[in-house]
Amino acid sequence: MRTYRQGRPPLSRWWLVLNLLWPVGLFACTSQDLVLKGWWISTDITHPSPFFSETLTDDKSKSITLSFDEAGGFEWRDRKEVCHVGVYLVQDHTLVLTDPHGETIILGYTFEEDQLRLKSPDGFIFDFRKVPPQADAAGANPCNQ
Amino acid sequence: MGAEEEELKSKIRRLVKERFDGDFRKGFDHYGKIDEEDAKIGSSALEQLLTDAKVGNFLTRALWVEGVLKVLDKDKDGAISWDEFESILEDGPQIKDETGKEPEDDIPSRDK
Repeated sequence: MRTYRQGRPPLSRWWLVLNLLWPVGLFACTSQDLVLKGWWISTDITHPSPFFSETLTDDKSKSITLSFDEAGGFEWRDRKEVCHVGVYLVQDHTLVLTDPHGETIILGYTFEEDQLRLKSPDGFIFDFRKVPPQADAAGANPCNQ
Repeated sequence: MGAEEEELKSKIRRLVKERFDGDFRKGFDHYGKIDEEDAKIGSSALEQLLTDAKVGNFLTRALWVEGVLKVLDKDKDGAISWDEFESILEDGPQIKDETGKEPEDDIPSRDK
């Protein structure tokens, strides 16, 4: 008869728990990617420092367009129509963006329905709302729409 | 001076120290040539300067450029002149190394 050290679950139970949990973890990661995928328009940009107060109130009507695709790519068109492209990765509660030069930004992010909030390491907070793709053409993105 | 402004000046002073031997005029002339705006630092040169100084990131650097121009560009011509750039030296914090310690050698004089 097999015996187990008292107080510790047998290895087979750990194996069972692991087998039950990995699809949950995979679903969590995949579902976050699915929520993120698509087009986003900025609704507000803020920074706690008064250093940026004038900058951020200027051109308030102009917004940032952001898109995430299924292949792990992102496009960010800023308020001056300058485009930044690269790849993204969702890790726990952070979004890792890397540009073609290898510069990486780790952003904090939160979702609430169709709202996305990104927190840049230098203090900027970007609020976005999800929007339908802005062009019908296949492969359209913020940088070539 | 706010924390952002202090950090900005500290990083620019460190850049000048590391890349231009602490010579602000040499640093200014280097970036002043990028935009060819009559020996002034225009917005694209300023963006390069901020990238080199590790200020902001590729998503926020344009916002930093706007913020810096609002602070330093006193005559509002959209570029930073030597006199405006020189103000970074005024009342600036000491450069701190990665450990937070201040270096033994001081910032060179602006007369250089």
